[in-house]
Amino acid sequence: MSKMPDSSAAPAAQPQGFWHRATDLYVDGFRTQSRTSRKLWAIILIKLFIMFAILRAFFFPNFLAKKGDSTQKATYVMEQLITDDSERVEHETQKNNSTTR
Amino acid sequence: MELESLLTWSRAQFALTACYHWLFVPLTLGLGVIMAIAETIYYRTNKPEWKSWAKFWQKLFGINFAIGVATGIILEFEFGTNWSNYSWLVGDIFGAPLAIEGVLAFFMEATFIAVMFFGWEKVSRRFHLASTWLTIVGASLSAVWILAANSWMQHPVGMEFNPETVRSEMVSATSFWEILTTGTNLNKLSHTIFSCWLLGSVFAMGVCAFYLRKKETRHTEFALRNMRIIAPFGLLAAILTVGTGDTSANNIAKHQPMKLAAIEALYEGGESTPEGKKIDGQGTGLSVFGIISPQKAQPLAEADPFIFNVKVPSLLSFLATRSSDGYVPGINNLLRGDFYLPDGTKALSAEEKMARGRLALEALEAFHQAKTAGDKAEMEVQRAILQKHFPYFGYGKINHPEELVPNVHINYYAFRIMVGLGMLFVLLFIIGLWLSCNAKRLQHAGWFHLACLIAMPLVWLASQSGWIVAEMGRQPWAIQDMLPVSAALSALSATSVMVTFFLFLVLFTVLLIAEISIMVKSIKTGPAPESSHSDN
Repeated sequence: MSKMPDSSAAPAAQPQGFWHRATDLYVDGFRTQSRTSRKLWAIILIKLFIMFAILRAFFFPNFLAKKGDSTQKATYVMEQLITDDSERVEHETQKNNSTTR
Repeated sequence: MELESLLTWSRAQFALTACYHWLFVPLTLGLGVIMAIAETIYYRTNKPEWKSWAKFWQKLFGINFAIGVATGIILEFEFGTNWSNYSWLVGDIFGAPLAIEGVLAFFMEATFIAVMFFGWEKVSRRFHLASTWLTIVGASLSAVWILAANSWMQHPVGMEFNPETVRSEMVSATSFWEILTTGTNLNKLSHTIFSCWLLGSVFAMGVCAFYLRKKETRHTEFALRNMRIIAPFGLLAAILTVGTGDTSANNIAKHQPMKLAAIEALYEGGESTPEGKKIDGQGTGLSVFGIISPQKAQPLAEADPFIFNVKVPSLLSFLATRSSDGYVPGINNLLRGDFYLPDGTKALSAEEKMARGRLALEALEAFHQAKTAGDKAEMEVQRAILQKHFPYFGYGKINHPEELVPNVHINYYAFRIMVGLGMLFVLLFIIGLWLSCNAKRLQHAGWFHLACLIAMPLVWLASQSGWIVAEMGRQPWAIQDMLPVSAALSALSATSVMVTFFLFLVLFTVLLIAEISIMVKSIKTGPAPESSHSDN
């Protein structure tokens, strides 16, 4: 008579796949973190939010992006290089001020 | 006036972000190695206390990593906004190293750091140790790419200026390799990494000394046994830092002679022979320490600006030329061009370089006019003129020769702070190594524990001073001889740059306070006994 498997016994440990073990590493790692680690994660997330959602978005636009395509950007930079630095900064500031007004 | 204000705030903002970023990076790279050494000892001995101690260093590493991570990205924001001319000009050269940094090193760190923090009980000891070492290798690789970009700015090689795109472009498939393997880059990379190991060692020695000064003896064993491994590592790091520092000075003499002259406050180097020797046969002395008079330190004015100066005869000649009577040009010689170059040709004066630079700029303008007119022959003529004078391209943007002189006072004193402290750290680790041969002697050397604690802030001062010399010494150049900082600037409003300067000041100060408070709390708690719950 063949032996029937005992359904009440704990299932034998199945060898887990790579992705399962990798996911488990992260999930379990995050779940069992200390208070200090949670605090550090909060700092990282707040910092990244300030950097990307506030600083990058409102204070650090790509300056050349509004100058047109690659050829226009190259022409703009060339003009900047051949113009006296004081003149080009004064000129651009006046232009910005008149646009603001 | 607007330019001066804009330039000052833009430079101040970049310096602020770079300096704050550099508070975190060297500790990550230095402490990372100590953490990995401690875990290696655990792997080899299987002693549980080393597991606990490795976890403790890992925790301090983690705090610093978490607070410091991504602070360098702000520098990239600034490139695109404040320094757009520069970004455009170097796009091709900078793009490759920074992209590699982002993809390779970042993902390497992100993968292995998770195994390191979360995997203690989940992966084999061997795999965990490998992950710890690979985390620090990944972090160091991040530094490789950004340092390659920085070295290129100090010594631009492997590129050709394309007047059509107004960009510096890599000339061949081997250009990238050339950028990575210049003497300047290899030296900067090794000097920086070794100095980070030194900083990490001084920090870790300070932590151990803190426990030895406390009355309670809970962490005495940790401190004594860890000092025994940190002292030799720190001494090795200190010696390597000094050695690569010497090569660095030699490189500066070759590619940035004005920086070396400013570091030494050397205004007059005397006369030279066509063979590159001093005509009087007396080598130039290295200033060990001196006081510079603010009134006398003016280009093309008095030769000796020192109120007093302690010198080592001929040492500067040897440092710069590897010959005790080698010629080292002073600031005034570089401006006047009254000396011979190592290849026997006569040096150009600042005025001559400025004239050639203006020819290069005029050729660039004429090239674009010809392009607009569709005159291909004229384009080629102007391209040839531009290429001929391109080595002096940046000089075309200089209005007065005096603008070519960096701040002598800051460079002179910052260099002496860096070198002086570097020598003291060598001494500190020699004493530490000697004391650590006898546990009792080490435990009761209160004066040494105090010295280690005092050294903790000083090692950051030395590290920051090194970067001050590197970056302020190359002024007025953003890219050596190619682009001065005033031309690299975007034409923004100075007020907007000032506002973001203060925003960064607040943000970084908050981060620094958070780091120090969490770090101090963790150090006070100390390493947990291995039997207790592991603290990720």
